[in-house]
Amino acid sequence: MIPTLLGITIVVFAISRMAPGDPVSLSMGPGGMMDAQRAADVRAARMKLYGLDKPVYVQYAIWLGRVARLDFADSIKHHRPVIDLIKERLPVTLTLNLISFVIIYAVSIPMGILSAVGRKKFLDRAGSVMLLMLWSLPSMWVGQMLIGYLCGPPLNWFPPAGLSSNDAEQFPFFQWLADRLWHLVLPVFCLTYAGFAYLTKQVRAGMLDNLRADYVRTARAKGLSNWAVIFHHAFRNSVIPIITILATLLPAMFGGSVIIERIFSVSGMGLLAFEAVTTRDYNVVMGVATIAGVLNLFGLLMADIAYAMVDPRISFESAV
Amino acid sequence: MGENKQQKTWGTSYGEMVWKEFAKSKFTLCWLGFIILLFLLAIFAPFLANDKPFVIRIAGQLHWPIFKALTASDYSIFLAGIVALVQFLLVLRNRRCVDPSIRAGVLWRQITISVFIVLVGIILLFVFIPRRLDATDYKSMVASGKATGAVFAPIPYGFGRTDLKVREQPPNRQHWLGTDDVGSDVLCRLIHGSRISLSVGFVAVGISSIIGIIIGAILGYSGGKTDFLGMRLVEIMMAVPVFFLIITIVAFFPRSLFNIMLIIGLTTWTDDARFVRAEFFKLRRQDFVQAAVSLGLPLRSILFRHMLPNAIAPVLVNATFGIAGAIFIEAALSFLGFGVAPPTPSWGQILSLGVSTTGRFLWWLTLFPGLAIFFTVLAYNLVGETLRDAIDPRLRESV
Amino acid sequence: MNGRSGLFKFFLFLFLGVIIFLQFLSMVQADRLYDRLNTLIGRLESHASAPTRPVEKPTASATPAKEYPGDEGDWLIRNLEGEPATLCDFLASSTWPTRWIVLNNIFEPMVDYEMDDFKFRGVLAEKFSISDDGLVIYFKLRDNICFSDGHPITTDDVIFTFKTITDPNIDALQYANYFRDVDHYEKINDKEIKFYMKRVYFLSLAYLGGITVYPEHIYKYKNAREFNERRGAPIGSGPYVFEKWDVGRQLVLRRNENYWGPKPKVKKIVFTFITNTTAELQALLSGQIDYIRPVPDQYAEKSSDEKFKKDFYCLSYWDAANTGYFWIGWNEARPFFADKKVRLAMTYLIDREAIKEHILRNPEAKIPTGNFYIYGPQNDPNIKPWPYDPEKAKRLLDEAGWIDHDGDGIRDKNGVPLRFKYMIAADMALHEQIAKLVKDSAAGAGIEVLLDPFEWSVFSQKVKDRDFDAVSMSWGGNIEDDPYQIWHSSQIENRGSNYVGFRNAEADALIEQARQTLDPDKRNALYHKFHRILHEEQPYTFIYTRPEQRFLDKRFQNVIVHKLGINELEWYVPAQSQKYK
Repeated sequence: MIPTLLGITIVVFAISRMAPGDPVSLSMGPGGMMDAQRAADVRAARMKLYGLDKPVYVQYAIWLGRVARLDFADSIKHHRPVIDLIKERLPVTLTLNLISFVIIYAVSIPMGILSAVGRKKFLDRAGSVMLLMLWSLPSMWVGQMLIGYLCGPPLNWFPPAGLSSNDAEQFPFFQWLADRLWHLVLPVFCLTYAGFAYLTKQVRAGMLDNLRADYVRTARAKGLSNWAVIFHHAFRNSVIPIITILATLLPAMFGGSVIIERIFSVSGMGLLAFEAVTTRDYNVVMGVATIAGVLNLFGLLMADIAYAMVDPRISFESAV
Repeated sequence: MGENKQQKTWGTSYGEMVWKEFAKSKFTLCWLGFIILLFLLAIFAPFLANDKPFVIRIAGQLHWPIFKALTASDYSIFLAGIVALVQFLLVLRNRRCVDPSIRAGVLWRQITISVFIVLVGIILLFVFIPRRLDATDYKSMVASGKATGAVFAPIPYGFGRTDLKVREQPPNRQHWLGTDDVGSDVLCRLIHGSRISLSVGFVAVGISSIIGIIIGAILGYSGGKTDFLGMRLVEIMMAVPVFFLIITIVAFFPRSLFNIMLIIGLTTWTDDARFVRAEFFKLRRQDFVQAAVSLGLPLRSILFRHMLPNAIAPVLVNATFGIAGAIFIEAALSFLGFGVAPPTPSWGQILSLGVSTTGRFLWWLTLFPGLAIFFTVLAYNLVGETLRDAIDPRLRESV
Repeated sequence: MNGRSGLFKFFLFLFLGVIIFLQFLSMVQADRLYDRLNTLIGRLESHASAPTRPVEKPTASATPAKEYPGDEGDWLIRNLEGEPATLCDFLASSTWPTRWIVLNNIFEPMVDYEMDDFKFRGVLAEKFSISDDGLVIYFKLRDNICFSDGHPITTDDVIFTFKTITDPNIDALQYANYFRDVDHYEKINDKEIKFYMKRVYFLSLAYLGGITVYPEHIYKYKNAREFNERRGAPIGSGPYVFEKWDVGRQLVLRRNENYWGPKPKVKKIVFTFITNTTAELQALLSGQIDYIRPVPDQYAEKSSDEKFKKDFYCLSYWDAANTGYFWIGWNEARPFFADKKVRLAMTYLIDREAIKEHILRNPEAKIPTGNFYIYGPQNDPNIKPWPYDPEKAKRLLDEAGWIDHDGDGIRDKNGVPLRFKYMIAADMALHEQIAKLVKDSAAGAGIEVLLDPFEWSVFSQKVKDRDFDAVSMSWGGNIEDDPYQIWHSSQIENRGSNYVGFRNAEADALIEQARQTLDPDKRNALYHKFHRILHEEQPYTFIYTRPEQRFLDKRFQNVIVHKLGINELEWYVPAQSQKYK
């Protein structure tokens, strides 16, 4: 796991440094108020201040040393510790994504089971086409249409931006929570609808696999009720691909969606990383990539463990 | 070569089986037809929507402005279309005339030759056809009587022409789908934009499939240490946030369509690699592979002539979803401002205009490109779905 | 066998538990910020309530003339489309939101421009002057002025601020650049100070007088990093004090009850940070915020909406201190743009009136002819912009020798086709629209323009490296400007700001002479001549300059548009319409 993590950090570091531009020139802007020689001096001095004048591999070594002490340095643009920025934004992103995940799973699993079990051709086809249609909707389109129609006068059903109203912190807890949930509805909706199709398909495919298996036939022959057969036997064995999918969806969970965050003005990890990349805020980019990478790998590990726990055929020693 | 017309004694080939299964769904066939329609739209775009006329008589002389103004990319698209058509006819001929046992090999050869012709042709076209500029205002010439006998395209607007006076107008008699932020006709830009979307889809998926196949094949076949190291690399690739990779790389290179296709291809190959690797693991232990190995055939041959055709199915299915995904990514990039350089039309770019600067919701700049993306992506997804079901032996009822 | 479903239930509960925990966490995070700031403010409040010197109400002779009219109370909720990175206005990390928030609200300069005339008035300074030879600048601070905690403002604070800015370890190198001509300062007493300059420069008084004074007893530091990273509440002398900052959501200022001057009537200013312009407008319409800066299209649409105008002001005013201009620069290192005729032809090809009418949709925007503030004294109002005349452009191009020799529709000369790359900043709608128009118009004259968008960081780099053929950008402006950095030929090398490589000996001489001319009439005459040279040479095509636009809730009264801008400090809300307590 550590080598993979190192690999991630090296790749991200290399790419971010290779991109033209640097945070100092950027924040100095195109200038116009300083003569050339002076501007060059100022730039050199600021680069020195941030340690950006050393050769690239030295900078990487320094960064690595700091990270080992869990010091992610400061953001060059915001002048605050990277950790603070991430601490502010990560809960937002995680909230959005976790809620979406729960909703997706809560809806997809029963739908997938139902569609595998009820083999009425037309309903099945219509249902799967509907799901595909949901998957084909571009999220930026949906988001902007929702804001445009639902958020302004005359309807005013939902707030157009942000995660809480202006004076939210003055609310008592439950009112605050209700306000928070009201703000979350649209972004979560945009994040969830696409996930339904994919997951439902997977559940359906897994269930189909199992429903044809011999042991299911045996169970039915033994006289077990349909319900018991589906749930206690077939479904349990279909859980494996679902867990695998969870593992592959984890990177997205910690990364946040730039588009949704931009459209709904939510300060999450997606926007943080996007702004950091466009303003060449190296420290933030590296911090976000590292922490996201760590969380990803951790999630993958958890998925592997859960996988092994659920499927007795898999043990840690056997390799493919 | 085994060419003979005794097809009655032939069984059905794998391809035919899949096609029969696929064709059972009339619904999907309609969508396949829609995709073909899109292709035709993309190929004939300059004839459908252009501000220059087909033919016009100025001072007694006949001119052919549209034809003179065709660019190297137009000709390339024509070439690709013709080659695709020829290839399709060849496939039909193969069904009639070629023995199924060697059909696969023949097909591969034909496809390789076609791709080669297209690539070389494109390069030659771009080198030899000069860039021309023709901004003559033919419409005003006709209006003022200086020219006669002009035959204009059905949608008489060019995608790069601006007309500030009719800026941001909703659909009306002159502009059937309205105008955008500088007065360009939306319908015209949608039609020309289909070129971008379709070509991005194909080329990006082509690149990602090739890379994914090669890497997956090598890893799946080798196993052991190579596989272990390789999978670490693939994991790194998967864990690096793809979007930021794309944005950072886009910053480097000038905004050209090809660069964007390349970038999307370079960052989305991991799924294909995993599929191919999984298939190759299974195939590695099969007898025919062991036989090939013991015969001492070169590795290249074993991987790509023997094992790959059997592993290709999931790649094909993933490819259709990949095309849909690539169209999405390109639209998202254009929406964020990282797409092709203006004024090249792109559906995502038109979408980004519908809501950004105004408090006003410009519904025609949101609805139509959104629908275009939606239907195209839906078409590919449906086709991919049905293809996957057709390939899956467990769903075949005749077996 | 029950373990399996149990496992699933376990995961489900785990998820739910984690979400609730995260929500709690983000709420607590906000609280933590609160607590920190509250303790800080608590400390400061106690400091303020027990001043070391009795706070004297300033006597009539010492204060500037009038009290503000109207009823006290209510809040002004203003939206900024960006969040400040720091609340210290001279640090390099400060950007425009910082200045909108702290300047004249929390921190005050010694000297500032009048609202109705191009003259200086003393803010913290009672008297100020510049010697006849221009080398000695003198300030006398008012008596009885103090910071918001009661501490009197003395020249020690001025010196401290000056030394901090010029400290090389403080991240204020760009701002320090304005003071490199200061030779030394001399503190005469607690209220009087003199600055000695190395050379004459007409803007020295403006720069030095514009230093916002920071209290030494609060901001003094042992090492520079302490100052650079200071997160505490800012304390200044201004009419408002800092109350709290919910990062990402809002920043609140409340009125300084100890203010030495006339106190504003509005009790709190709340800054919100909604970046999405659509959402911003919605928030205004639904009453969540009071004061926004609309995008031009929003303004154009709403200013003709009678219903909107009943509830909101549509303010359009020339903010002299902040009015810039949008321009397209032609890189004179390229063969085609080295010729003045070609540059002039490009200007004739761009229909700037159409841009003003259709893209900006702002009839009050103007087409500038030079780099100076269009209503300022340095600008020559007799110079009129070149009209839109594509035929003339074609004739000029023919004259310059650019003719389509090979029949491909593109003009050329000596084998070089007139085809160039026009670089724009990606993600800026206005740049893109103007660029598309330029491309289309140029095509009509046989010029092929290729649009080259780049994201801002790369764009910045390429501009400084002169890696462009044509570029569009805007410069910010000032009431009085020194064209040296942008137009002097010495600024072409070394990545200076003369990006297009404008080289004109007469212009150089005028710039140099004007810098040292202290008499405004003589100086402005020189600048008028310089303005004419720019107009003839067209190193830039100046596209537009426009007034500031704002939407403001109509419950605010005494909203006056002065000659140089507006003054939010003089607004009030009548008692019966007040919204917040």
